[in-house]
Amino acid sequence: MKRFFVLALRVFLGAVFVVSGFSKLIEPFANFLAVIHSTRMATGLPAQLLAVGIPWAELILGAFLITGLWTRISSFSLWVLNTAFMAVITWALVSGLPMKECGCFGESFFSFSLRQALLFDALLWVFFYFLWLLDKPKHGVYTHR
Amino acid sequence: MKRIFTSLVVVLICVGSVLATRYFRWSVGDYSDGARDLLRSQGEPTAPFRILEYMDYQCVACRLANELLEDFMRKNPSKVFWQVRFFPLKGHHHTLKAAITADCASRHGKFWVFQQTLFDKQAEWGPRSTAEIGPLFDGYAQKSGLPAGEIQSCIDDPRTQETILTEKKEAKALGVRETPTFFINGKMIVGIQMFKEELISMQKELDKKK
Repeated sequence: MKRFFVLALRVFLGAVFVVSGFSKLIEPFANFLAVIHSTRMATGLPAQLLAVGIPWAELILGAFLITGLWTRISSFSLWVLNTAFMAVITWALVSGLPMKECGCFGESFFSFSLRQALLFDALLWVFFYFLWLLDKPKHGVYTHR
Repeated sequence: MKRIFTSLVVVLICVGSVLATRYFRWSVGDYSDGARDLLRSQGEPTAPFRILEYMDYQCVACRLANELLEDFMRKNPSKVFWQVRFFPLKGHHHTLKAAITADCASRHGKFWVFQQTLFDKQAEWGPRSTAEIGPLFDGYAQKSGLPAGEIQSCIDDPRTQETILTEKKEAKALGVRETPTFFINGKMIVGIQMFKEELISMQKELDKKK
């Protein structure tokens, strides 16, 4: 039962990030770069690096999580990314930035308002917590799984 | 070793699927020197920078972008060819009507004057009700020197609206999702921040050539 639950969590979380990364990557690069600019947290080269790096990290780490490769590292990295997204969205809401859409899934599949995105990210955060708790390695963090 | 090999295969599948989807999905922004486009353009078609802008008249960033581009063109006459296309956004209730009226203005050679009025008065007409918007635009049109009767028949013609909605559909196929979106010599630029950065690099390029 526990193994099934862990597998379901891994596949669900992995799939969310695969879809999120893929949908950003198939859109023109400039669209996600504009989302990063709209958070007012980065401009110029740092913003460009984030616009390239975030979707690829989501896609590849999500694929690793689904396929069961480097699960501890992948889930932890995606958890950190998820926490960072929550922080950025909270910042955008608190400072009243004129962002209508979170850009979480590019604009190909779903469109979330900032509040919806924050709720969804909070749910994912809880799922990551359970995954981290239940999927403990027997011999330390970097053991083969 | 096996795990590293499997990881590599997963990465390659990810990269391959993204590249393949992108290859079949997008083409580069298309410029046209057709009659309709030339009515909404300014500058020399042979200028080194060809800017195609997709915009929405109720979008504040579009107004700012308009100011920046006007300023850039003043500083660098004959260096920019600027074409405008419409991308009326959902939720902006009067933007389609504004685009229709601006398109009709373009047929009388008053596009740029009328567009400037729309941007200057953005805060005035944006919050108005649908009933108020017609007479308000009529007033702007008259101030811009447009013949009242002729422009009304153009506004009422369903083909005008169809033209604008087709333009939006074409833009979506190019990957345009929000405004302002520019294609500068084919390079896609979205939003005011990226546009500012691009204008700076364009200015540097022109200064180097001086």
